Amino acid sequence: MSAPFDSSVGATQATQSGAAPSAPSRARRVTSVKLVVAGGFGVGKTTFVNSVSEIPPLKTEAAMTSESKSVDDTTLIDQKVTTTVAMDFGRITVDDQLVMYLFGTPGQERFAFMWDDLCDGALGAVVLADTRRLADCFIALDYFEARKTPFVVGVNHFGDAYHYPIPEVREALGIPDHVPVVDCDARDREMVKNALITLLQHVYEIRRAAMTR
Amino acid sequence: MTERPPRAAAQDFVRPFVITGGRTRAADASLKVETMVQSVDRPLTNLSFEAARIVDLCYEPISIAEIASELGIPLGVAIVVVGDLVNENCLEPSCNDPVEIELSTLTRMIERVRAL
Repeated sequence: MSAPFDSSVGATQATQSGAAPSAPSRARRVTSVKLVVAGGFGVGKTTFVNSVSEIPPLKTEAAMTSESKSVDDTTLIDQKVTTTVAMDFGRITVDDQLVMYLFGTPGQERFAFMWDDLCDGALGAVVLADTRRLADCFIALDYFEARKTPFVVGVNHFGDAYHYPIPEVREALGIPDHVPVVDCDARDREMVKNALITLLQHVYEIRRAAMTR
Repeated sequence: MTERPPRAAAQDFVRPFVITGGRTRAADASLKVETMVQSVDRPLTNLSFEAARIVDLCYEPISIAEIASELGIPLGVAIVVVGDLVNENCLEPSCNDPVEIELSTLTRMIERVRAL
């Protein structure tokens, strides 16, 4: 990115006075932070976003075109695939300078390749796990571990499912001790808030530890 | 004899990346779905239909994801068109590198979520 936009969040106010020549006069610098909600198909990601978003979750389509090596070869036209996948996102306005966005990742494994675009730049992630289908969230856990994106695990309890204690879920998922695991019914606003706060505190601790090292 | 396949669907369908001239990546790789953009304070002319609609939406800061949702265009298309507008100095993006986020900002976020 070019120089005028290199200012950090903390330097935002400074930018307003010593403004770059192209800065609009009504300049209201608003920065944004992205959190992602991941987990298997049908685990409650959309519900999670809906529980805390100040706007009804918005949908956007991500168009996917297969990038054929020989795009102009008409014999391949039949095989050219265009498909779309809907993604949900919600918003929490922190104050007039900062907005948080919550993005649900597409749950189906076949859309995992889109995660890079979506998760690039994410501050952290909540991985939702369904105790009846724990294996569904393995791909998300592996993904954020590999990317070193801070994450917490929210265990979403579904009606008739046996309520496994958190330590058992942690063990079954192979979650290291430093990663928080919390109960999280995606329909329960307080539990969703708790999951988000746990994530933000987790990020805070990681940042603070890195600073004092 | 088999029936001719219906053609209607093809007629009202424009492949999304026609708008971007086939490009699927923005010129500016730092633009993300959550990047906030805002229009600049000067009259803009010669904008394409899609670009003009986007600039109209950006009087107040708005994220690229919200632009896509508002206009009903795919995210990838929105990023490319916004990228062009940023390049042409029609839109200004805000920095949103999470590495830059300070501890005090995280505290603000925690307090905000708690107050929800």
